[in-house]
Amino acid sequence: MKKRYLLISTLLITILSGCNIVPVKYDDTMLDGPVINDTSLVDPTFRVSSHPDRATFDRTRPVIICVHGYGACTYEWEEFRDYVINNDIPVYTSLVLLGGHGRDIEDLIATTWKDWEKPVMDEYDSLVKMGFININFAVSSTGGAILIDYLSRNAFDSKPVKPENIFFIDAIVVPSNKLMTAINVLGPVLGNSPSEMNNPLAKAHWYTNRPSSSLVQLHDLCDLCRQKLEKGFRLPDCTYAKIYKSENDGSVDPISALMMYKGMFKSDGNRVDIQMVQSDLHVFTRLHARDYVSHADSVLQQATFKEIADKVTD
Amino acid sequence: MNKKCVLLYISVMMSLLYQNSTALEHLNIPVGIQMQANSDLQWGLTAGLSSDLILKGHPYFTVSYTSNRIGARFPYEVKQDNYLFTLGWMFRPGKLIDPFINIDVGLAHFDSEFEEFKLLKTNSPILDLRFGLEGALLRKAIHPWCNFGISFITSSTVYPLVMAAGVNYDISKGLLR
Repeated sequence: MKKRYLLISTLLITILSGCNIVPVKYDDTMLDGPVINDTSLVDPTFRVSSHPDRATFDRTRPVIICVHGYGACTYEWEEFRDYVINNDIPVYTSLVLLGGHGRDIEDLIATTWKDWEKPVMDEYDSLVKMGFININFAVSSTGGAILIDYLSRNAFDSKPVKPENIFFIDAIVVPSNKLMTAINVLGPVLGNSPSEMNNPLAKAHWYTNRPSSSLVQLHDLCDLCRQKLEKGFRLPDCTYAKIYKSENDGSVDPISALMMYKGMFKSDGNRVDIQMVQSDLHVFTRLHARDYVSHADSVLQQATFKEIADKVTD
Repeated sequence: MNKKCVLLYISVMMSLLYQNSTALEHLNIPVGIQMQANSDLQWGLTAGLSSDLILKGHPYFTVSYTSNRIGARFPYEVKQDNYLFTLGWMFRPGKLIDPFINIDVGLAHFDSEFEEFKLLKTNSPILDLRFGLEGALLRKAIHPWCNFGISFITSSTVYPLVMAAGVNYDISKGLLR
């Protein structure tokens, strides 16, 4: 009998003390550690606002601000940047690194989602200040949630230049793994929910560790986006938006796209564009560092890149 | 459809009870309203049945329907419906405070509404385990209750943690006595 009480007491104390039963671990091959950091931190050409040749840039040429997702880095949009360059498309790409990302995992732990989104608006403001008049967004996963947050609180209304086009790629509102919705309860117990990555390229460009504190931040952002979408909001005047969503996405539940479609309206009250795509990939526009890529995945990626480029240069 | 089912259930039970007054002594037929918090806040109806003659009234059976169609917090919520069949066990049936445990099986549905989302999987099974407390007030006719549990199967609209609360009126103890 005493043993049973001892066991129950130990279990309760373990849960209530919020012990981290899955500690943060990393090595030098991971983005999580101090050795590998996001390239944009040392290469100023990733962002238009820090590009060494920015003084010579054509201010009438469209700029696409590309925003990656939670735990990722600017690598997520490098294929699109290369597509634009290789096809001589008259567009500048500006690959923004979210706050707390692309550095050591401790930086992610120390930040909130408000810190994550700050570099996005900083880049937008810098481009406006530099005189660019055609600014666009291509956002993936959590990058999409960040744009939803900005749009729902009319953050662009006070700007002299409004976004021309916004392309949402697998934007997150509801995660596929519903345990994340209980992260406030499970998080303190688990401490960390590392993802399984075997691909060395993936390990170098995505955080392997997912500390609970950062998942709580992601959950809070998703929850906020959901509420904003359920209340409904309109895009800035003349802003075009299109939602792309994988039908079988292991990270973002497809109901996210339905929520966005229901709650996000053009400035004239009409619905935004939507395309549910046949793909099993999360952020189907990024094919590098995947274990397997089908021909259909490549075709879909190129078609989406072309559609984005055509719309922006239209 | 659901309202009709509930009305039919109540009518059948009432006619049975009137025909056999001894059954009335042993049957518990709670009907009531409930609020459920899972992926969204839902409101609904519930109707149950248990008998003192079956294992001293410990087991019970409930059907319920909840939805966010009525009382939605925001205008653009995805419309959801949950249909639940519940098998439960009351530890202290008939007492002022009665702890209970139950297993729910059922169906969760949401409206995809638009042609663009026709391929979304809008129906998914529900299987959850809940623990709760029920009270018996006013000559055991009024039963406020609350429960908390976990869903073993999650889906677009079914999250792992579930809470519910409601109040039932036992028509065998109240109206017909």
